[in-house]
Amino acid sequence: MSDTNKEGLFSKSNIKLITAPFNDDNPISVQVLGICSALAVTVQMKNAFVMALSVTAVIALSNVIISLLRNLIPSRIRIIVQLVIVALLVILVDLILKAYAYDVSKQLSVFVGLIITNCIVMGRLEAFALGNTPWKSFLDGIGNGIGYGIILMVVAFLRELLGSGKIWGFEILGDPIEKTGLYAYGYVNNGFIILAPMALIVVGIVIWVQRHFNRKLIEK
Amino acid sequence: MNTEGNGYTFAFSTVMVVLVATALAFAATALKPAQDLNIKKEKMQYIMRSIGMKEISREESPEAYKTYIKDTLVLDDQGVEIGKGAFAIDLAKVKGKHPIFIAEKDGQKFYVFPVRGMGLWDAIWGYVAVDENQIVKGIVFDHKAETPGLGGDINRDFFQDRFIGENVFSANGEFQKLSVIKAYKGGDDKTDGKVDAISGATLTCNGVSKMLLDGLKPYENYLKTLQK
Repeated sequence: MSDTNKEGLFSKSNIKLITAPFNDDNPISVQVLGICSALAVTVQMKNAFVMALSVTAVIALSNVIISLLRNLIPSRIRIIVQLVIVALLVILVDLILKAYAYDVSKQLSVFVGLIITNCIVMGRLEAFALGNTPWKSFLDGIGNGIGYGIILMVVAFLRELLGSGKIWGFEILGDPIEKTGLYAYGYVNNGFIILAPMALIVVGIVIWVQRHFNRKLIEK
Repeated sequence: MNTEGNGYTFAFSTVMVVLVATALAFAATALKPAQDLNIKKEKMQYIMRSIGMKEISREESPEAYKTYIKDTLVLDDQGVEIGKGAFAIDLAKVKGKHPIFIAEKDGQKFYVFPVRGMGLWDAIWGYVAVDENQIVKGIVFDHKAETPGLGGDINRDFFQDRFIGENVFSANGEFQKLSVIKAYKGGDDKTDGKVDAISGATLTCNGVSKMLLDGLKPYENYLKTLQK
């Protein structure tokens, strides 16, 4: 940890650990990790937000724990050790949600457990935490969690708006049953957007748009 | 220290597993009361919503439950009363016991019957409130994992409200199943016990029909005794 002290806690290279995953090194749109949960929990923004928070907490904490243990973990069983640590944290998140955020835990149901299999978590442990100090690993975890969250929120925004005519649970386009607002003019929600395949297509479009503005991501 | 030896690897995994198991056991025990309380409050919330208090929050439900639920009964498979204490019965775990919650609100009596069955993907459950004349006064469904926007809509008002006013018995006094019919043509006919299904959710709706048939059948004799 001595090198972080020399460097300063929020030196340029440390800040870059947080900000790089927002755009240049985004876990979903650039590293293409964690797609599975991006498909599953992006029907509503509220769920996507809680999922992003939970994943961020799990990545940051597991990064720190693995980084602290990085010189002690026998390399032959390091994947198992990572899995156990991640599973521990995920079960804790699940238990805490059930006790203190029951509605959210009901909506996320199985997806909380699936954080264990979220490739971002294992990917960052393997690629970063095993070779870096706890503080840097923590920043890397927060950065990747937020980067994941940004894409999740964008996809959830589009899917909730087009699929259910709502944003964050508010019926901004009117009531589809009572036929008020836009629905009075014959507008209908697109049920297809709610299904998982459309999430994949939306993620694809997000990747396309991102590459349009960030030319250096385009593979030659 | 050699961290690659067999002995070290075994020791490391043993210590890790023991520590992790202890942490989890501790957390599970410490958080259990709060979790159970949530489940209990949610059940009260369902019951309150079935007797017409649609907007009640989970936190207000225990208070309302105390105010409006006057009595509870437990029936066996033949419809014979075998005791009280209906609230503790979890339909997911107990067979052959059928709880009834008797509520009184604004001078009106409600008999609330819990039902449970299978949807397309996983469990579905509900609470049916009827009055002395076996007319459905309110119904609440919920589900564990039905498709959002299709079968998942069984927990929304527009679907649940279709049951209100339906009769559990037909005009000539026979027990008739409340059922969900695809492309129902009966419109607002409230005597036939049938309501329109949700399009795109046929399998979930079939599950609802089956749940209502199996769930309400044990109460048939009890319901007959209510008839004036």
